[in-house]
Amino acid sequence: MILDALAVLSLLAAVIFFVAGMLGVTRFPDAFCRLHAVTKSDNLGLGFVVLGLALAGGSLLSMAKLILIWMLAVGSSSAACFLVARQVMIEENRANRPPDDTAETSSSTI
Amino acid sequence: MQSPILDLALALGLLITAFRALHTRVLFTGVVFYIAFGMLMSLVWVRLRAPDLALAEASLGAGMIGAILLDAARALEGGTDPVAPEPRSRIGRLPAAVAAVAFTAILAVTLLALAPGADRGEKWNRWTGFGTDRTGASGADSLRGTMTDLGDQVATNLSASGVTYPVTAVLLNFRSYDTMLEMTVLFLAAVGSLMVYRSGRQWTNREESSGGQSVAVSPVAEGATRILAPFGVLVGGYLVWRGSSAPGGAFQAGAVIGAIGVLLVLAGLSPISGPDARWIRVALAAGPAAFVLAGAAGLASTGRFLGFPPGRAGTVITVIEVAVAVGVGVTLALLYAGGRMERPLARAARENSGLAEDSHVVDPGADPSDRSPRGVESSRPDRKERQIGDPLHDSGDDDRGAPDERRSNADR
Repeated sequence: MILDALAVLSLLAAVIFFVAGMLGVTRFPDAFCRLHAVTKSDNLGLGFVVLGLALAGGSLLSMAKLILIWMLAVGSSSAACFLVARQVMIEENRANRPPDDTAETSSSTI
Repeated sequence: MQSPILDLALALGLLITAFRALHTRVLFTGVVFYIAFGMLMSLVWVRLRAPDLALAEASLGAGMIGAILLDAARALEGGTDPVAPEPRSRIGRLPAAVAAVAFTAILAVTLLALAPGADRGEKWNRWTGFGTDRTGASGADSLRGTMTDLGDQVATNLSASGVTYPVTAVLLNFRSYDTMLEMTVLFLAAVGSLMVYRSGRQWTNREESSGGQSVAVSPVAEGATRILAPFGVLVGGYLVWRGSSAPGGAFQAGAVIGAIGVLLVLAGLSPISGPDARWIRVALAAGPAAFVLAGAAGLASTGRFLGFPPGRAGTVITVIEVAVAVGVGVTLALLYAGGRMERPLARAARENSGLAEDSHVVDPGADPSDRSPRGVESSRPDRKERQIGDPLHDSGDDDRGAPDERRSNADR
């Protein structure tokens, strides 16, 4: 009973985070801000979904599987977010010729 | 489980994303909406109780085809600029609209008539022809009867098919002839695309139009791919094995393996070094070949082509599924990698000269002695030695200046 209530609360929290992420994607001004919204809040929402399902659904094995899947999703989406941001930065540097502040202040080489 | 709100939301989402995918002036936006459409479609398949189709739609429609379309959008003028709307003739649109509306109406009427227990009255029966005739038989009833008959036949013969999941039994045993022809079609598609890659002078123009800039592969991309690729192979193998008792199967596994191939190509770790590699030909032919061999073995043992003896049917099906998964995976990866492959001649020239590449122009048509400006300016290799300078700081012009002297060395 308590577990079911907690599961419902987790799923509601997941909905809130997903809606927040969606709002961020549509309303944030910059590609980098939108990446923040997509990666952080969507993955946290997914985590709450996994938590809610794990609380509601039974066997220890399926809980462990869900948590592993969530970790895989977080890892791969973090890598994807970084690569998208890198590509945006590269294209901004290409577009800003001659080099201006953006190019000179970024010091990362990865 | 009845959930009309969810179904309605999914249907609306399908219509909206499909509309947005088609009615956009920016190709990239269209492709993104198409990917979203694919994901919604896969949810719709789940709601229609077809989990195998959902798996295939998610991995193929949203995954593989999304990746291929993104590449194609990039090749066509970069894909991020709005294209000018073409003037469309007003005359041709009215018959097309009428035909589309008529087709949708026929589909809707048929689906409504097939709903179990539907009796919508005398006028409906007369107008649609689904009514009962003098003997009391109804067209819709006989259609419905056929559908349940097939289901019953599958259910009664499932134990003799060698697997315990009816979809796999139908695909790989009862209707294996159709699946064999599907695999042949895929094989022909792969051969056709290989022919296009070989004749590829147009790929040179593609790189010119998009600026021809090369980007070094990030260690993050390579590391993430090195971690994810084994997971992908594991998931593919699991889907093949699981397909005999639960949703899964060879095509879905092949789609996952194809997606891993796309990841490998993007990370510069692709094992596909050219269209001539023998292992590619073997892998492409594995799917249809497995069917033909199984069919011949069935002919020898049971007197019917593709007739599996009930005792060994499970083993035969598993072998065929593995071959199909490998073949489908390699076909899909080849379709994606093909735009970035280099001819063996160009690659040999690059390796002999030992220079690192400065742009990923694919030049399959040139030979090493070609002195044109796009001569041996090679291509996206299967290694990641493409780092010239710092991609985050380089201006585009720097890449042009340096390789001239190196290229002249290579031509010696």
